[in-house]
Amino acid sequence: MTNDELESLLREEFAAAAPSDFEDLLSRCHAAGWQDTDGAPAAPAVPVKKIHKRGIGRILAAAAMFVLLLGGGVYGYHLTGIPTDHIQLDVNPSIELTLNTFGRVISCEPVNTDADPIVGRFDLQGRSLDYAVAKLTGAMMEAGYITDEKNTVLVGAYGNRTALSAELAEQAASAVSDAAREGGVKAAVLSHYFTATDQLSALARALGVSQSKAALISSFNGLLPDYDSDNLARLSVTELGVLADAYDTADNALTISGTPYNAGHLDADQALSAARQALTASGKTANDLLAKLGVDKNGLSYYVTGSNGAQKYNYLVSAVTGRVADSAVTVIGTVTGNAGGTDTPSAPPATAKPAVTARPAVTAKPAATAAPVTTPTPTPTPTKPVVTAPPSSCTDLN
Amino acid sequence: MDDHSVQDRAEIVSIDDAKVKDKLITDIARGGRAELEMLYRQTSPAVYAYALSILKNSSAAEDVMQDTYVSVAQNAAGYESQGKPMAWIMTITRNLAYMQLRKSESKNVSIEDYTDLASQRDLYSETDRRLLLKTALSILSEEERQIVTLHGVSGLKHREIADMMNLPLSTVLTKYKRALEKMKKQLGGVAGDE
Repeated sequence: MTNDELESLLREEFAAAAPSDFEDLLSRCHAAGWQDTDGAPAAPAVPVKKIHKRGIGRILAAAAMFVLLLGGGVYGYHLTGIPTDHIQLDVNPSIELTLNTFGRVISCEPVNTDADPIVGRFDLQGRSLDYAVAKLTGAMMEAGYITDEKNTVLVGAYGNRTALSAELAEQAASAVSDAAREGGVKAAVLSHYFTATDQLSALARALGVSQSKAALISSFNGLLPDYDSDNLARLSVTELGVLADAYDTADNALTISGTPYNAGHLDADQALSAARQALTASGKTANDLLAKLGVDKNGLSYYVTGSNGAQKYNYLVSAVTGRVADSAVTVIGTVTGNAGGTDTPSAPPATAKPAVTARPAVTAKPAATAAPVTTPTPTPTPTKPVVTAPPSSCTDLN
Repeated sequence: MDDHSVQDRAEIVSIDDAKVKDKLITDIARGGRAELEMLYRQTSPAVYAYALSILKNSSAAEDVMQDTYVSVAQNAAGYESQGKPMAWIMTITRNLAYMQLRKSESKNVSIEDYTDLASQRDLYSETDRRLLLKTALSILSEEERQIVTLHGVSGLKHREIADMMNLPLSTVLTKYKRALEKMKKQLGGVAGDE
């Protein structure tokens, strides 16, 4: 065999062995910002170098292929089936991608029944993470799960190495954003990484959600006025996004890009207004009103508190309907246990962002905690937690 | 046709080929999708082969191959033609492949680990092909594999390979010749066996 024959054999074998996926390349190029000119005239004919097969036997060709595929490809092949990292996508459909050490998809599994038809559309095995996420995001948009009003996607990553999980979460989040942008939706992406523990797995099973969503829900523990994981599990990802956007959650790994759609909900000023109307209707006045976003069994709600010096008022205002769902009064200075109410503040929960709470302009209060209603622009300092008493344990105002 | 005329013709083909690729890259910078596809179809086997010679894993090599063309598209506007478009593309491939290697190492999964693990698990039956594979792996050094790929598959000149790999030209020539001899000997042995 001459050198020319050997080189020719190599070229031929690699031409046959090299994978080719121009569509995947094109989507990657678009994701990277390269714009092709649609409708551009076809390129002028370019002579393509032809490789002529020489008279080499098939055994030799196969053997040469194995030599030049460098064995490592074969040796490493089995490792491509070993799962190392996991990415969970939550919209309403929940999907889990399992990746190998090279970031290639080993499996794509639905986590809930809504995800079945989405996952069933594709064979993503062996695909890159970007490709898989783009395809799944596109399919969920087509199915109406991601729209301008339901614009938030939760991306969660877990694996053996935290740094890599963080990197993969960021990569997947970016792929979601790009795919949504291509589809004309301004998506918000909550991305985080977490450690998959037995406890988290049990919570996820109990709530009927993905581990990623369970981890996000847990991060609100001790933060919300009335934390209840079941209530949180019933929220859509976009509503969880609204909450996450409003609070500095305990999940330090959480990153939010874009703005979760919130136009369908009351803002803090509107909640305060509703509570004030209820106060007026019952012949009461309050010097001070604070609204804090939370969740009750009916969904996103504002916990509004205020006092007139002698009594403290608590209102629960639905952020969805604007209705005052519950109210209660406690006498300040009288500690009467469950039945009577208390003026003892509960332990301060974690800091909430100022935008969540607001205070009526009529009340002069140190400006450190919130902005007045008339100027809802958030101040940079975290809001002091609102003291709330469970409405059910207090005297009903109505 | 004597050797000299064959070499002349190869030079002409090579120059024409470089001009064509230069033009494709220029058009890609202007958003030429068809040109990107054409360049991809023409050169991806060579890019894949080179990536594979460094990474020794087909999935990782495929990723690097795709990323190479993303980088080509992104950087086409800044490409300055020096008549060596393949050298430019291969340099991108090399950088991405080594970046990928570092990434794999950071995940504590090195290529050596694959080899050891594969050996321990005895994945393949004892066939002539397997023996050939193991022997070939022990015969060709990493540099030899890269040089063979760059010249034999990608069509880079030895001088360009020397520049890219930061090796003396004489070293590249020697290693290339030695690698081919090893391979031919190995292939000949197998052919004889079967």
